[in-house]
Amino acid sequence: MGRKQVWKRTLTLASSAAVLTAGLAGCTNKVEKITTCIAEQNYDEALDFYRAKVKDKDREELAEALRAIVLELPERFAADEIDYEQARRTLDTIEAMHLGTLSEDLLVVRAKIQALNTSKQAWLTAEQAYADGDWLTAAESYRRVDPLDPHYDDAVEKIEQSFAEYEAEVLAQVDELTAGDNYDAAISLLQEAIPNLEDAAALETRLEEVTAAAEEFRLAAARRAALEEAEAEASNGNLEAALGILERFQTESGDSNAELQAVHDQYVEDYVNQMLPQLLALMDRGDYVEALEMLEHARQVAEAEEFDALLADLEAVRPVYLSDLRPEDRDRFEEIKTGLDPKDTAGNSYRIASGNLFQLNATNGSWTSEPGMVEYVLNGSYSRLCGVVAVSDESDSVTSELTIEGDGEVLYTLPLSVSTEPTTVSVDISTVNSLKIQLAVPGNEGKLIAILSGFYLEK
Amino acid sequence: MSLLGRIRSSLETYGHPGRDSFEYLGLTVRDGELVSYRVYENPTPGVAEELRGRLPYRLLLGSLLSRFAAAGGVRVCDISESLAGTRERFRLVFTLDRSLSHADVELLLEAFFENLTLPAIAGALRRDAGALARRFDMSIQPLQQIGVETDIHANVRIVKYYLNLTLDTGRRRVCDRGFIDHLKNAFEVNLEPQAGSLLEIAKHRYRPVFVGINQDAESCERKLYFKSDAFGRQIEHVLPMSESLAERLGWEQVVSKEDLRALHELGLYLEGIASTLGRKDEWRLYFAYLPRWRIPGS
Repeated sequence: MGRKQVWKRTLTLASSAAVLTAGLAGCTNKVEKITTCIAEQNYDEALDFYRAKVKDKDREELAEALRAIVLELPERFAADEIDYEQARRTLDTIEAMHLGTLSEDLLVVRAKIQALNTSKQAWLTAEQAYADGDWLTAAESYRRVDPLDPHYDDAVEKIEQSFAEYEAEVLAQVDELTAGDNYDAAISLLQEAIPNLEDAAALETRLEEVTAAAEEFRLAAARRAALEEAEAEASNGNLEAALGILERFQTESGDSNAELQAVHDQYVEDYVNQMLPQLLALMDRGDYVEALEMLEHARQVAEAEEFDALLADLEAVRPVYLSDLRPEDRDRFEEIKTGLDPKDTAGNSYRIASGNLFQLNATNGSWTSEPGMVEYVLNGSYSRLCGVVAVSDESDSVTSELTIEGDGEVLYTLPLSVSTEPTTVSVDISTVNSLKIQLAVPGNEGKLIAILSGFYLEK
Repeated sequence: MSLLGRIRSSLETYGHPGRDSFEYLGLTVRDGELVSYRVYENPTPGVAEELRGRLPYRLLLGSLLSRFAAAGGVRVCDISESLAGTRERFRLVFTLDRSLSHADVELLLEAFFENLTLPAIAGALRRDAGALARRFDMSIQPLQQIGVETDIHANVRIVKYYLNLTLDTGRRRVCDRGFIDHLKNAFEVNLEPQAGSLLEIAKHRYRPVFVGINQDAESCERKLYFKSDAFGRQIEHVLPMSESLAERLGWEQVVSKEDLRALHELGLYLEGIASTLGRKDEWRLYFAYLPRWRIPGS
């Protein structure tokens, strides 16, 4: 049965009912005329007829007939028996008749018709978006389908389908991006997609996986870079730098990669092989202070059993240097650790790198006259004090005197001037508890600087 | 000429090899302004001999101070002339051995003042030295230098004396609150306004070494001399200390950080500082050569 046929049949029934109720043929004819005009979409004719023919006494009967038409409109519009324009014109025409008892129904029905119209548009938009693969627009439009709409159940189902399609599409894109190591884009895509879904568990799980994979990818790239940088240093013989690069990378990244560890271990072995001959040569020459300094540095660079063993050997054979002791008191006494190597007045240089190198300063000036001194507590632990005393070339042409005292008793005296040659000192200190080395105030105005090199204490 | 220009010129005059008589460059700063500039020179043997021939020195060494100058434990440490305004001034200062006893010094002071007829100044010197020795519990007598500044006729205008502040061992004291209190009591001078500055100097590792006193007929000026605690290679590290001090004590208007760095480049560092006791904002800055340094290129 066609839609218009249904509409005509309904109007006929409504007209018949009006006839039976009113019992007045004249009135019934007027009502029938108007309802027929409306059914046939002759709205202007219906309104003209109403204005020309309908009297006050007819209005009640007419209102009842039209109410039935109005109340059926939403259902008929929802069923696509009439279109939106037909429904709107029907309502406008009836409203123009100013039948007061219908005004509330007109308002309610007009609102329903509009809502249904919006729903119909949403359905159409959603269907198009779905067909185009625009899943989020489709889902959003399906959501706007009204429960009165006959597509409502379909819309509810299609919402789920749209989200499922969207999720599948995002995951496919993520797979494609990660396959190309484009982890940042994949993470961004997932982070943007997750808020769009009510249930984003699958995407969240994937985000965790991709984030972990990205981290591993970056770590691997950084590891490769560190290994390459370290290899470049190692190939130039700079194993200390190579080890520094790898250890810094391991510390900062927490990476425990086996390949990296293997390379690190190899560099340690190479470094040990590089350092041992140098350390042994220093020890053979008796440069124990420099050997110890180098060894301590090497142990900082790499942990190796060979270094520990060598340290034990070194400690066993080396004497106690003055630089090993902590002065109890001192004045104008300095250990030379930086700057140019000092020279004596005979032109000899004293290597700072060898360590255990000191200067005692004494001055006689118009402002101050100050001796130099240093004092150690030995507690009778040593038998001899040995070393070389020289006069620094920074000294003025003055005379002074170096004295070594044990417990207040002068054990050794050495007159000093710019013409003094380097002098080897060997003093018995076997019973000395307190050792004092003193440089007297020069006899005339100026300063004298005594260099103390290689001083050691025999047990 | 800029300050640095004048200093460069002075170094060329006094610092060249063969006439390496430069001792100190002295800048007097008062209320944040430079009021005088002076190069302290160690007289070379030739110059000293030439000066000894000048009338004031002939009178001083030949008669006025002859007994004192010939005594054991005494030697000339400064013989120089300078201009005070338009008038020539002649300066003669002697150093006394630190090993002299109190009694030896008393005999020397009698010899010093016997022809000068300056009983008030002699009394002031004895009072200052005695007060200092008592306050600082010195067993060694404190007078380390004494001298005069005269006019062309050898009339003494000023008596100068320097009282040692180091410990009996020769080591330096630390300038702390107790030190300032002792100094204040010894000389009966109000040091409160400048105590903060003195402590600031001490914080920058300068230590007090002596008090220099200028006595004339009308007035007495006392200066507390500090010397950098750095010696040997540590002297290279004095520059940041002096930069910080210049900023804290308001010398920057006179000697900026850039000046201090330029002076360092010329081989000079701030070795000594003198603070006029009782004058909060009067300083003298003494620049000496760094070790191994002389005029670049010389």
